[in-house]
Amino acid sequence: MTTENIVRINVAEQFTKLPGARYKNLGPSSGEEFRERFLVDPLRKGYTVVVCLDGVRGYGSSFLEEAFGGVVRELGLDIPDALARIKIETKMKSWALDVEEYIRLAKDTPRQNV
Amino acid sequence: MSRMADKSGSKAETLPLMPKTVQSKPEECNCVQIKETIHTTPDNSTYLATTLSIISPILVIVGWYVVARTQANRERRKQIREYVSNLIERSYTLERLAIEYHTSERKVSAEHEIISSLTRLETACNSIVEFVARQCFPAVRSSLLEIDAKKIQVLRSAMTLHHFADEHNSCHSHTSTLIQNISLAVFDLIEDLEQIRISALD
Repeated sequence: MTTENIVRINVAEQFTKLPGARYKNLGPSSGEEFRERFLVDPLRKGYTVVVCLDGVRGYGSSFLEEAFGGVVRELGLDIPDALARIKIETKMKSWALDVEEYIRLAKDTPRQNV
Repeated sequence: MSRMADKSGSKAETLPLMPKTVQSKPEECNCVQIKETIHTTPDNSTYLATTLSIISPILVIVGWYVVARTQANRERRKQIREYVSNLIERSYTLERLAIEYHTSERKVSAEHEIISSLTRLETACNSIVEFVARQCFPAVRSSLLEIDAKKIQVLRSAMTLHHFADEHNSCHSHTSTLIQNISLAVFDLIEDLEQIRISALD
């Protein structure tokens, strides 16, 4: 893997320090908005994304599920491919575990009705 | 009188005093021998005195070290117990907050508080290991202080994956699966914290 194929994203610096809910139609800084602005494009182009989750107030699981599980559903990524190309950097182990779980379960999780 | 004196003198000569003098001679000899023996081992006594003069301060230092270390460790274990008790209390508070949120109308301030509290709780859980790692003489093995990150992840999922924020469209009953899962996740986390408190007991 060369550095040219890697896109680094720092949530606190590039998106928000106060991540919101799941969908963008009901509030700012949602998981859906994050996915569309930062994840979909590079992953569609075959890049690896390294996402630094630290520096924020905290994440609701619904935000993480919609952002990372949602991108797997939207692009129809294979789970091993998604796990290999979505890297998480954080001091909070539980956030990394959360993301990994939502990627694994992405295709079993239907879109929530709002 | 002179005759008497002569007589007594002759008697004195005839008295069996000789054996006394004869007996006393060997005693003197013994004394001399003992003295000689003492005087012939000056190196041993010096050695003993030197050894004692070296060992005494070492024993004092070692004793001080052992007492100081034991006292410091006891104090640290007490700090860990208090810290863990505080974490347990915070977990219960978070549980109450989350249950109240899910069983009543949507409250945005409660959402923020739940997310912030979860982050602070995890940071605090990770801090125990860092706290002990910085100690010269760890009071408790750091491996005994680690909280399984999976338990915090399950707790966050139980509280914020469903029926949270924009998905909060109705109130859950206290017997719903979501509420039961929150209680179970808190219970599991507290079980880990209790184990830490036990390992920090004196």
